[in-house]
Amino acid sequence: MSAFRRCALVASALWFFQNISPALADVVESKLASGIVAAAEYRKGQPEKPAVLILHGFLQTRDFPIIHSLTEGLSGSGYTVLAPTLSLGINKRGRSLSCEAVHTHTMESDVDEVEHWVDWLQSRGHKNIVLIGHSFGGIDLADYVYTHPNPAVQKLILFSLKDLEYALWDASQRIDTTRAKAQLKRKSRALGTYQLSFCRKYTAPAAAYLSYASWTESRLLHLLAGIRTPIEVYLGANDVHFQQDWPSRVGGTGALVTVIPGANHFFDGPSELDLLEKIGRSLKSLRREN
Amino acid sequence: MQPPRTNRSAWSASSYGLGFIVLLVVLFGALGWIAHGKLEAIRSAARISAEREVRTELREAVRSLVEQAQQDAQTLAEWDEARQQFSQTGYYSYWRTYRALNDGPLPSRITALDLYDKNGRNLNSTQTAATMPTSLQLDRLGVRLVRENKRAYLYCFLPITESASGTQIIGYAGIKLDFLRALRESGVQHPHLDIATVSLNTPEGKPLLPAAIMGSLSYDVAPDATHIAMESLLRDFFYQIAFLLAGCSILLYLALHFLLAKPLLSLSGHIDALRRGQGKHQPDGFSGSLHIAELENIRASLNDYQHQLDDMRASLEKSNDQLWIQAHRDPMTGVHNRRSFEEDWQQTIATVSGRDVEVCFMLFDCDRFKAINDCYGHHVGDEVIRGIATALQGALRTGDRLYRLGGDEFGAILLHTDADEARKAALRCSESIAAYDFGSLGIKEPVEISIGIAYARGADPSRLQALQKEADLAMYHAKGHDQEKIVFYAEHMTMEQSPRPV
Repeated sequence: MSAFRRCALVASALWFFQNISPALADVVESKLASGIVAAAEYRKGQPEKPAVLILHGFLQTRDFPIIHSLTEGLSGSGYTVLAPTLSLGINKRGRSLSCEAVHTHTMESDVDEVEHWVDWLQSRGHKNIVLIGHSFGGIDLADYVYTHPNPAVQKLILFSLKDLEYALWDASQRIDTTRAKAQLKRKSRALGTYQLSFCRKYTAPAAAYLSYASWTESRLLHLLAGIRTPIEVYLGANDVHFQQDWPSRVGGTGALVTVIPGANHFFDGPSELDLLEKIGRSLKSLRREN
Repeated sequence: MQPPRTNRSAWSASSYGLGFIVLLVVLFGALGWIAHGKLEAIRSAARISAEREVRTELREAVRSLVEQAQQDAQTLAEWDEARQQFSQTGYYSYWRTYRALNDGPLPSRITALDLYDKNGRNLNSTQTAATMPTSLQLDRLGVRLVRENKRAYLYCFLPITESASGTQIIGYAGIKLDFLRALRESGVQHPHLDIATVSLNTPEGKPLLPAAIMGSLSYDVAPDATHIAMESLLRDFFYQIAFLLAGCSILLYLALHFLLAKPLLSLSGHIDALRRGQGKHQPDGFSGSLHIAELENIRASLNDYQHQLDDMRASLEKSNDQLWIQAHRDPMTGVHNRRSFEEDWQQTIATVSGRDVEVCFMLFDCDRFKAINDCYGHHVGDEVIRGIATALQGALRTGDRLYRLGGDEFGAILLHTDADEARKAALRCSESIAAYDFGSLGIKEPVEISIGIAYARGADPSRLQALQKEADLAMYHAKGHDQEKIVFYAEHMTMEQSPRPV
């Protein structure tokens, strides 16, 4: 990124956030249907602006840097922001979960939690909701939107959407998936150690493991294509978690794909402002549409 | 001769050398004892100081370990995965064994852990690790040290709240660690504490609060490397000095023995030999090698003194010989005198008495010697006497002694000689006198001698005693006959029968 472009970006961001006023941060807790208490950071913004739900990536928390930055930036722009931390079966989970931990949570339980928090927002009077998800969190949100169509959800913004086929490309994970399926066929609830995404020793019952590992590229693209809600996808040009044709394949589902130069999977550094600017503009356009 | 006076309380030089060595050993031993005492005092002071330091180190180590245990228990209590076990207990045993104790955030010093519900019951009491209690006494949370199976275990139980910042207790976390092993493997350096010797002295199963732990521990002070090195250095130095002193003492003793004691002993022996010789001649002086100048001077002086003594002894012997000769020789003729005859006669009697030895005694007397003396003077008479002595001495056998018994009378004792041989000897004597040139003395008349011979065998002592008288009678009988000048004694001879009075 050239120095001129960097200066222009910073100036643009400052213009965008010129009306930023500090929003009151509040950690809200809500008891899930499973009995587990989940927590989220809730920042109430201006009522006329849509509420934004920002979901972290796989095994992470709302304190993940890019999530935290988006929460700060968007709430500072007057948006109501809810950044939940998926419980993953842990009461008031506050830290990222290790791969080696016992993972009994599933994709379905994650989606249920998303539904829970969307409902929570709606119960607070937010009628226009935008869902923003990072990495695998984006798949959670897409699955939620697909399986739980909700008119209140105005837009789905996914950044660093994982190329599952690329992630599953590893031969070991394929073998583990086969092994887990065989175990599931035996209706075994025993824990197994599998490879899943970046986890080399993902410990989980076969069903819980497969709830994530069964997400193939075609399933995801099919899902995206079936969603009526507008979808915007932001990918980092330097993200090593997808193949070169991944943006075009995602774009083929009808989603609006934007590749941000210089950004990696975590959008750290200057690309964080790029993402924030793009999401800000997207949210503004949504207001104008409304 | 008086025996040499010896000082019985005096010691030899070797004894003095040995005494000196013993004194040296005693002094060195005393020095070593004093040094050992000083070292002990230093060691004792260092031990007291080290024990104080050890208590401080151990107290700090225990405090640190208790804090670590509390921190470990707190880490467990605040761990999301620990809270997860309260909502999903199905995999608790797996999580505890394979996750919490192996891959979790807890340090390896934790040997066992367990979670308990809010009533103090283990989350999975049926599969609880045997080393952790199955239930808690909720009024006894915190840190406890318990002796189990002769090992000391530190337990820490803390409450688990519903979240890291929450206050609602949902259960309890308990950890257990091997107290002594954790102390040893804490990585903290203990300069004074021998951490391997720390042990717990409490009955089995009796829990100790942190404040009571120190009082139940026994321990040893670690050997101080500096002190050990210093002691080793001093000990080596002491041994080196002792070795050096021993070597020097042996060399000193040998030098004393070979350079002083042995030469002195030789000198003493030489002087003793001189004393035992009682004035007899010592052929050689003291020739031993002496390497000490003073002893060499003594040796030279002794040898000079000995040479002087030898010269004096030789001179005395010579004088004695001359005196003996003067006492036993006739000064005019040079033949043995009457004193010599008396001694020899008594010696002969003593020798041959009781033995079958033939003894002849001859008496010689010059005929008309008084007339010669009166006619030609005493000077010529003396010369005649000397001539007779010379002639007789020449006629007798070698070894036969001739005695001048007085005036013109001579005698001879012939041993192992029978009468015939005696007669032959007498005849030779008579012929020798006859052949002697007395004419050169101006004597015109012939000089003749009368010879009386007595013969006896030694087996009859009474006969020996009578030989002189018998020879005398025979000699007077010979004087009474002008033709028969050699006469053997016969029993019928008396003084009255002799032709002229004796």
